[in-house]
Amino acid sequence: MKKYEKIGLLLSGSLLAVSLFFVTPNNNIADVHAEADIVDHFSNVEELSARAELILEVDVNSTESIDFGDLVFTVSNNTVKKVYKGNEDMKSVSILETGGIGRLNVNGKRAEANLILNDNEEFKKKDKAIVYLEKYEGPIAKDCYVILGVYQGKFKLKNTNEIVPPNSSELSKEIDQLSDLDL
Amino acid sequence: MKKLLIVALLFVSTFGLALTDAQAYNLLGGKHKTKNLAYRINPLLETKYHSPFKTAMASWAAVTPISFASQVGTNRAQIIINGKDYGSTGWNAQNTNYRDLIVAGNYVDSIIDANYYYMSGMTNSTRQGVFAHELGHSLGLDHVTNTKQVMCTSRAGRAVITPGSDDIAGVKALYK
Repeated sequence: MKKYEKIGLLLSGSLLAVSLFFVTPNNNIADVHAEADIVDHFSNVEELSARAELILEVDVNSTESIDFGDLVFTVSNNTVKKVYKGNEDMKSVSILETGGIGRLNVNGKRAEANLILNDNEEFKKKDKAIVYLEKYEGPIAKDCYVILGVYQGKFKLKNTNEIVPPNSSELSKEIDQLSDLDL
Repeated sequence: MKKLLIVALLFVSTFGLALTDAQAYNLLGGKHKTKNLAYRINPLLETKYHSPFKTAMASWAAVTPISFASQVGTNRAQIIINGKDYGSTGWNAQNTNYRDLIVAGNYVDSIIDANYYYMSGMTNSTRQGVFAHELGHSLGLDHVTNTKQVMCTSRAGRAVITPGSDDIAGVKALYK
């Protein structure tokens, strides 16, 4: 095989691999991005703390997707590891988030897709986080809480001290350590 | 020395302006193929949302190259407006853009969902602002923090209900 043929073959292979990577993310389930007009905007953690009914450290045990209207929602079932605000005897909590894997109206046909709202993915099993919550009122699920500011009150724990702030949030500029939350 | 000064001036004028533009509006990374968009109002959408939605479309059409026309016959609508009570999810409305190759390509469907839980208690002008914001997403604009732009992230901080100068510049850049 000539040198140029080898290079051509190598380039074609690389191109195919890169294309497959972009076309088949998330185990063949396409990501679909949605952007929302958020009701409440929080400039700092003090505002979040004041509004939150519950402030908890949670471990995600399981998740369940719910197709509702045009959208997908995810309810995560969580073990409460620590209560910073709320009933100290609380052992578990269910959290409803907009987004997740469900059947969406993709190009006029119902197809499975992963809905991501404002660049913030919903909880996945084994995630650990500090969450600022308020009670959910509505038809999608019962006995659930929602994250304050949709995603603004959700800080994933990387390890004991480091946290991952939400995307698209002013809070993300100033918070990357657990101590920054002043809990 | 003179050459160096000219090069420096060229650099500042080129990249300085580019930076100003980039900071003024944010793009989602997609757009519709055409400036002439067909829209469809879901027959189940409560009638009180029709007028503010149409006014919001008019506010974009008045200041950008975009035009909106009601879907005719079996032609495909690129903008679809639906509504439902989703409860206290924390968002007033949302827009989902679907692309022709699902993860790439132009937008083919932009579906806007009004959340009745929050929007039913709003005035028509506030609803107009929310719809103008979502239509900005349909056209390809992302959020900004400037409260004088309709693409400001949160309604609570947004001071306008029609597209601002940066919003207009963003859409004009996308649909030349």
